[in-house]
Amino acid sequence: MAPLSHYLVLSGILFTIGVMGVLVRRNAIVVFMSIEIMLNAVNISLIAFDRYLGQHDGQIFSFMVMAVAAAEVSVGLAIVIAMFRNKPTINLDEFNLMKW
Amino acid sequence: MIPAPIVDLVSLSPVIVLSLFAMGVLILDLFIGKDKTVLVFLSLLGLFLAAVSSLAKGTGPIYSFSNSYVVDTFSIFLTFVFAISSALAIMLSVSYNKEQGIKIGEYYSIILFCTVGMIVLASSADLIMIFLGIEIVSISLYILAGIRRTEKRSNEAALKYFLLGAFASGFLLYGMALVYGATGTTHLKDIASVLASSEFKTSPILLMGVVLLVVGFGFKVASVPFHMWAPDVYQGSATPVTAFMSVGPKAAVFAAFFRIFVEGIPNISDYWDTILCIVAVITMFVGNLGAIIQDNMKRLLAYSSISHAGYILVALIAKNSLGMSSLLFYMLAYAFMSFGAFAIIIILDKQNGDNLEVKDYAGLGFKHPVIAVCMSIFLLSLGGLPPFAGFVGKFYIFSAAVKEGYITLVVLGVLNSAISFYYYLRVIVYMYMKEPEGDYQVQPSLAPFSLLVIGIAVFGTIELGIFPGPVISWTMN
Amino acid sequence: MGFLALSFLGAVLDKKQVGLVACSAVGLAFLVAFWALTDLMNLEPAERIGHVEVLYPWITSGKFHLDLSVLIDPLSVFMLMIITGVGFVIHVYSIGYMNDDPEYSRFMSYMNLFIFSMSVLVMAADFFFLIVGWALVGLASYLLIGFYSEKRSAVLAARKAFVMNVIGDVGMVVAAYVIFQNFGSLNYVDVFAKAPEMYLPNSDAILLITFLLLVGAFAKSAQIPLHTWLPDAMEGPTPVSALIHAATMVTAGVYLIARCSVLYELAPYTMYLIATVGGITAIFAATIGLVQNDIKRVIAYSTMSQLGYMFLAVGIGMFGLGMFHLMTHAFFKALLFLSAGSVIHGMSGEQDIRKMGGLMAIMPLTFISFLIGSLSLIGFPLTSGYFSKEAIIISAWHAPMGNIFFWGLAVVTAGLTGFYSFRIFFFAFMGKQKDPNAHPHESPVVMTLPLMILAFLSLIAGGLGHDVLEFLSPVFGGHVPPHHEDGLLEGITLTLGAVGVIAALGLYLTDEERVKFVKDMLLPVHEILYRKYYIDELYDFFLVQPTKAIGKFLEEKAERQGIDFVVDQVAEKVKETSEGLSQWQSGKVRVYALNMVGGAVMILMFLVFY
Repeated sequence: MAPLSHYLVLSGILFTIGVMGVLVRRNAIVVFMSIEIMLNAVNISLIAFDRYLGQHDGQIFSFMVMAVAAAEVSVGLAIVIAMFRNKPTINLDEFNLMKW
Repeated sequence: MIPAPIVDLVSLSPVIVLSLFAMGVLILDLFIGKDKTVLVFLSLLGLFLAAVSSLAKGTGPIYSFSNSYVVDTFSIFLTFVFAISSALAIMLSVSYNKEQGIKIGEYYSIILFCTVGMIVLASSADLIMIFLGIEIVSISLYILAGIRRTEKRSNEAALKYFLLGAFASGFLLYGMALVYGATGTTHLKDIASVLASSEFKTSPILLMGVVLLVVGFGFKVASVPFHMWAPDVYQGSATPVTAFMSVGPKAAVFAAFFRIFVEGIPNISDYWDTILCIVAVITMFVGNLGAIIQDNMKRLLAYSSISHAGYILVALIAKNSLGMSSLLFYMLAYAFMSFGAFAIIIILDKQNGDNLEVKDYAGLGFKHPVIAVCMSIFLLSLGGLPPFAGFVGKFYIFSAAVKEGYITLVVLGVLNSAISFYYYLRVIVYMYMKEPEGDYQVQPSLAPFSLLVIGIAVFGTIELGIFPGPVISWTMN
Repeated sequence: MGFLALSFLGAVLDKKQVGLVACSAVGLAFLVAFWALTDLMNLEPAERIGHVEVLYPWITSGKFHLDLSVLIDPLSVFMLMIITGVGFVIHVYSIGYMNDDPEYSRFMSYMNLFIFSMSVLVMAADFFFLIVGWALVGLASYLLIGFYSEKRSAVLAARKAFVMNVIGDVGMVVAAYVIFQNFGSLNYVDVFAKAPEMYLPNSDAILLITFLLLVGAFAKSAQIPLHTWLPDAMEGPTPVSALIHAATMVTAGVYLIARCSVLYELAPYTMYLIATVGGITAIFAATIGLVQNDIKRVIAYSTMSQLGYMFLAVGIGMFGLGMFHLMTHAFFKALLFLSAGSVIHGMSGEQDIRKMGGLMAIMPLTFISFLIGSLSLIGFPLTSGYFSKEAIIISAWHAPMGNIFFWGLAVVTAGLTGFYSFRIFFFAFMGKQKDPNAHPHESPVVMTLPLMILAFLSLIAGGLGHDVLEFLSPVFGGHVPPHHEDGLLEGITLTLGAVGVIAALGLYLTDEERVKFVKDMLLPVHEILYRKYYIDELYDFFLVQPTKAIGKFLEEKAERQGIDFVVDQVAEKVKETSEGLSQWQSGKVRVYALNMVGGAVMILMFLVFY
């Protein structure tokens, strides 16, 4: 069995990829997907800890995360669609009506 | 095998009651016409019953669902705060929604669901429950922020809030996962007992987890440097929603913040103490300095709300029982002051929303003296002037911190209170001393529900300022 | 009884616009006070003290514990009766007096605020709320004195009163601080219970506390050297507000000393100080009163003089007598002021007695009440003033702490009182009208009715003397002050009083030539007295001018070039910082996210390297 640290490093790398995605991409949907990558990175580490500690809490946690992520997706896409109706773009940099 | 947890539905009764009512509102909405007034009354009834049912278990700490849900004074008091703030929000929405043409029955249902999330959050004693609670609250708020579907600002607020909120949730979740990994459990009580033995204390995984928790919670309570969403979202959302999210959800997240840091990981407070102190101080400064140059009332109150998050963090840093009770008291006091101020913004707001600038308040003191006096009371209370609730709240928070020896922090906090008077008084000066530019046009829309909210808020602000005793002794329990 | 007190407070707080409501609020308060009185009367004397009704636990912070509570004991109820009773009469009277004033409702609300503050002051069960009431009274009096804000003298007088009161407030606050340091509590009951056990008589702490409290009492009760605000307070505004000061507010100082009698009994030195200052103030004010021409000013000085008597009484340990004189004084002084107000009202605002005359026939009711008031003031036998004043004067000799010096002061003052009070009486009411342009008329019934009530009280209240002393005795250690019988001393006092009256009559009857001659002969003395011993000028020279000079210097050098500059700069910088910060708030989601990540990284770095 691969040691715990391998899983953790993998999860860390995935999480960082997600964060970078949020920071550098302009497309709202892609940003959104990057956030999902972050959540799944967390899921990997949860399962790894769970396995390593010989418990079940982590698995339950990751199920919850998936359920929540699904709910978030539905709301998020709805928001993007509502936005698209008023202003036909999904470039995040064009949404800065409110500042300062 | 996993032992089946003991199911204690009585503990859960506020959550169950409120969920049923929320679904009831949702279903009833299909069968009634465009007048949604009956939904308002149904929602208010649900909130009332939820608050009452929270008393069913007495005040002692009662753990249920294998130690992941707890009913104690802390959670009961906060359930009341949530019920009050949600009720005020719903009452404020009635006339606002009519004027703005928001004819969505789900609106009330979502507020109730959000309240469910808040109650879960305040009562959870387990990382999983806390995560669930935060997400229930957040997802509801994403929807509420964007409830004015045709309004560009509302869309933008919802989008920003959603993306950044989900982003922050990622950090929070990662933090929880790492804390779980380092301690081997998700129950706060067990985490505390594991950390009582010293061997885990320096684990880098744990430290990383704490940092990420600070980031996640810092975002949800809008503390600096994770605050930047707040002014935009507050400005863009419908005003009753802004009022709602500045009080209830924030209080709920603070409750969870408090549970994790003070009940779960107090043993490693060496690590997070200084961080939170710095965060609190810069939150107060950025909030107050940012508010100074704002001309939009909602943005001004958003920055003010950021600075208040800084004050509340001081209560958390104090880590003693006085800190806890001052935190609870401040939540209630803040609910009244904040809703009062927003209620007045709402009744002065016109359909196209162009009465939101500070200069629109010029001359209000002469045209509508009662409204101006109420607004002054709320603003002075927010600033922390006796004999209003805000003063007593701050007094308790700062004395809790002094008790633990955080003198510098308190001095900076008091200094910030002084700065904050600059922009609160600015509004008052406009109301009483400036002549309006051109003809006076602001016409308040005095709907009975809005007036009721203002009445309750004035009463609460003054009552808590003059007779805080009973509430204090309740929170001390 | 807690409920009772609360309902009472609520009633007074209710600052309605209409005079009727204001009056009924105070009237209601009076009834409640009366109810509390009957409740107390039903108790055994020993059980009457120390009823603290806790309305709300207010603030608890460590050792510091503060309840919002009221104290119901004979002393507070007694004071409440006087305040609300006299206050009620004044309210009714001012309906008539202020009738033409456009700012009628503002005046009424100030009056209500005043009565409310006084009630807070006397019902407080600890030093904290005492000070709250104390400061509120100061505020209310400031508002009342400066009521005619377009009148310069009124504004100046208000400012003076405020400054003097603030001096007193500072003394009180420091006293409260010292008390808390020494006793660990601000509660009367705790402090008074602990004091005799903890301290020997004349120990430093007690002397300090009593002296600091005394500063407050002197300021509020216009005793030397903090007295100058009271006569000035008469200058500008209405007689009504003048009266409310004279009959109620100034008694706060006497009340304070009586309330703290336990502490003062431990501090005989301070007691001597009080008695001496009281006696000197009495004679000092009386001499000034001899030559003033403004009817209200004369009465103001007589108030100071009578307050001197009260301080003398409490200073020699006769707390009950002091309170008794406070009560009779409240009645007859209110009567005098209201009659004077009626005169002024009838004379369309004229206050100079030299321009009055012959009012007896025109204003018979006012005339009779003024006469009764004056008689009572000089202690004419069987009026109320006779009983209380005579008792004080005799005690000044016979009481354990009394001596011939105090007695001398008191008795000479009695003679002077006779002179000045009848001087104005003769001038105003006898002879013929001096100013052909004036058209005096009798006042309306809302004004004369209170006069008659007060006249009645001034006549009969003296008979209550023994009951009052007995009623109050539980508060002052349980003993009724002994009644000294001394026909000789009494005779001397009465004779001197009579001499004063006759002298006044003589002055009035002699023709102007001779008056002028006497005046010229006594010119230096007259000048000194007329100028009020140059106290104001002394203050001006030694305090005001140097302060002004320093202030001017500071304003030019420090303020303009130093502080203003710095403040402006700071404000500028704060704004710049604020604007700079907000540039970062660009409205772009990615910037916000970057900010969050940056924050996270910074926290992490901090943890790693700290």
